[in-house]
Parts: sequence; structure tokens; C-alpha cells
Amino acid sequence: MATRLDNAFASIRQDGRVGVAPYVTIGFPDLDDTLRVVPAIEAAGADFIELGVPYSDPLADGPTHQASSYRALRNGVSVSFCLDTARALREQGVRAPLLFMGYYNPILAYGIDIYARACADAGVDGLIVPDLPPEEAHALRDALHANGLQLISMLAPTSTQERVRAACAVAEGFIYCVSVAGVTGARSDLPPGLPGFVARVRAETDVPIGVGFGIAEPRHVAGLRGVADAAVVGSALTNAVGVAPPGERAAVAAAFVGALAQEGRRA
Amino acid sequence: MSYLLQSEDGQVLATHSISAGLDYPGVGPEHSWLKDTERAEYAAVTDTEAVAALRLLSEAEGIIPALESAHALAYAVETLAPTLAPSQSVLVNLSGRGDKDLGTIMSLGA
Repeated sequence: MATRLDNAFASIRQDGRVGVAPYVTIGFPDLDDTLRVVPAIEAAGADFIELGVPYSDPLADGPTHQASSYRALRNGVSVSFCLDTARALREQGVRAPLLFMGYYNPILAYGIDIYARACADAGVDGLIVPDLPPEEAHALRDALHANGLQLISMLAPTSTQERVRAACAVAEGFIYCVSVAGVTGARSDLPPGLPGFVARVRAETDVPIGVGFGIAEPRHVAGLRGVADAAVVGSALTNAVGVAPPGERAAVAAAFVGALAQEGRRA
Repeated sequence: MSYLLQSEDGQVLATHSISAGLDYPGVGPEHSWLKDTERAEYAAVTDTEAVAALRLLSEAEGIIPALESAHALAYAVETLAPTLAPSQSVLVNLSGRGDKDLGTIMSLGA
């Protein structure tokens, strides 16, 4: 059965555009900002949204998301708060696919099966777990599948072709191609090796490909045209929202995402 | 699997130890396995007890143990030895030398 995420990518491909997937740390800058920012960026053209579940040891994240996660934790964000936020977004009418991006230990501490069920109940469509290697992912994937959720596979430029093949064999939703051998964070240019890396993945699968880590500007989205299906944008958006005056965070986020989505729609 | 100092929500908690090598919230999989299979028992000692053990071995034997090893020594001297007969022996592994810790010790004025 096609999931919300599958449908989002089908629509992106039908339109022949580059999709835009913003990442938002839950409870940043303030606890209730997520409930204002997410509907605003959906309206501005986000194809799906990654909700960052803050973690104390965010090993895939650079300074921006380390800081946003720390602030969210200081604000009191817990796993159950994240679930409540997703549920509240659905109740507000958010229809875009929602993915939780977070680390494995809070999932393990919560209990894999209960977590998967709670995510489904809250209206979450899938998980991205950067510190869960595929060899260890079977239990979580089974629990997610039992609840109709998807587990997004990640690949990096350093992934061997054998590993690319293994990831593609279990890939669902989309494959998250990490643009650099490094952590999240806004960068000035797309890495020159990116098209070659994505082509290595594309050669193994028809599952849609999203590229993230370092996507910060419309010209980066333009650089993904003909290369990938979607651009994941995190740190640059977090920076913009973080410096916006409290009353203007949703508007700033919407303008930021809107500019990227507009670029993604250009022929 | 390994052990971790963590909150109920699975967040890693901040640690404190006078010994840099022990000031870490996780326990590696090998020790975790030894504990789970009951092939090893684990105990805790305080900063003060470890420093006292470092001083004891330094003065008695001229060997400056690392602060990490001084924890084992403190347990052996203070907790384990009193339960044993004089004829029994205790082997303590000094896993490192304390030269590296002299700055820490001197800053304590110990």
C-alpha cells in the first residue's frame, strides 16, 4: 500500500520538480514554536517534514543542530512531548508526511514496539535514525512495519557499492543520501562528487532519493535538478528561525522554505 | 549492548569523576557482557578514596598508579582486604601510571 511518503514522492516525480523536505527540531526555539512553524512551512510548499527528536548526543549533527537540540532539551522536550506535538499537528490539519529524525537510545529506552505504535497513533509516517546501522535495524524495522511506518535508509559518499546495494534492497519511502562525509550544517557549495555518488545509488534502485546535509540555499536545490528527487534542508532553516523575533518565526520559516520550493518547481 | 548513564527518556546524563578515563557515561560491550554473564563484579569508589589509594601506593611502594587504577586499589585495600584471611592474596591490575595525573593531584593539594 502506498504510504503518505510514497504519494508525496509520486507527486514530486509527476511534476518533474525537486521536492523540499525541511527539518525542524521539536520544541525549538520555544516549546510551542513547532506547532506554528510546521503548518506554515507546509503551506509554503514543503513536500514532507522531518521533525527532529532532540537527543543529548547527536553524533550526526553539526553545531547548529547540537545547539537547537540542547535548547529543546533545556526547554523540557521529551519523547512523549514529541509524540504529542506530532498528534497536535495532525489535529491542526497538517497532511504532509511527518518523519521523526532522532537517535536510537531514546527509542530503545521507550521500548521499540511501544514507540512504533505511539508514532503511528500520533500520525508519524516514518523514522530516520542516523546512529542505527542497518545490521542492527531489523527489530525496529519489523516493529515499524507492524504499525504501517517506514524506516528510511541512509547512505554516505563513503558507502561502498556493496553497502549501497544492501541499503537499496531494504529501502522504502526514500533513500537519504548524505551529501558529505561529515555532520549536518549549512555549507556554501554542494560537494563536486555529489552527482556521481547519487548516480551510484540510482544505479541500484528506483526508490526516490533525497539529499541532505549542507543544503542551504535555492541554488543548492537547483543543483539537485536531474540528480535527486528531494532536498532536505535543516541547519540553514534552523539558523533562520533561531534568529527571528519570537512572533515572526513561522513567517520567516515559511519564506525560507517557500524560496526553496519555488526553485524546486522551476523547469 | 552496553550500559549507559541515562535519563528515563534515554538521554545521556552528565558525569563526574576525578579520573578523566572514568568521566564517561558509557560502559563498553565487553565489560557489559562480563557483568551480565556474572564473570565479573563491579564496584564504585569515591574520588577521595581513589586519591587516598594513590597516595598510599606512592608512599609505600614508590609506584604512582593512574587515578583510574587507584579506584581498583582503593576497593582492594578498603573493602576487599578486610574480608580476607592474611594468607590470601589480592592481585590488583595497575592499568596505567599516575604521572599523567600529577596536575590533578597537585591541584587538590593532596
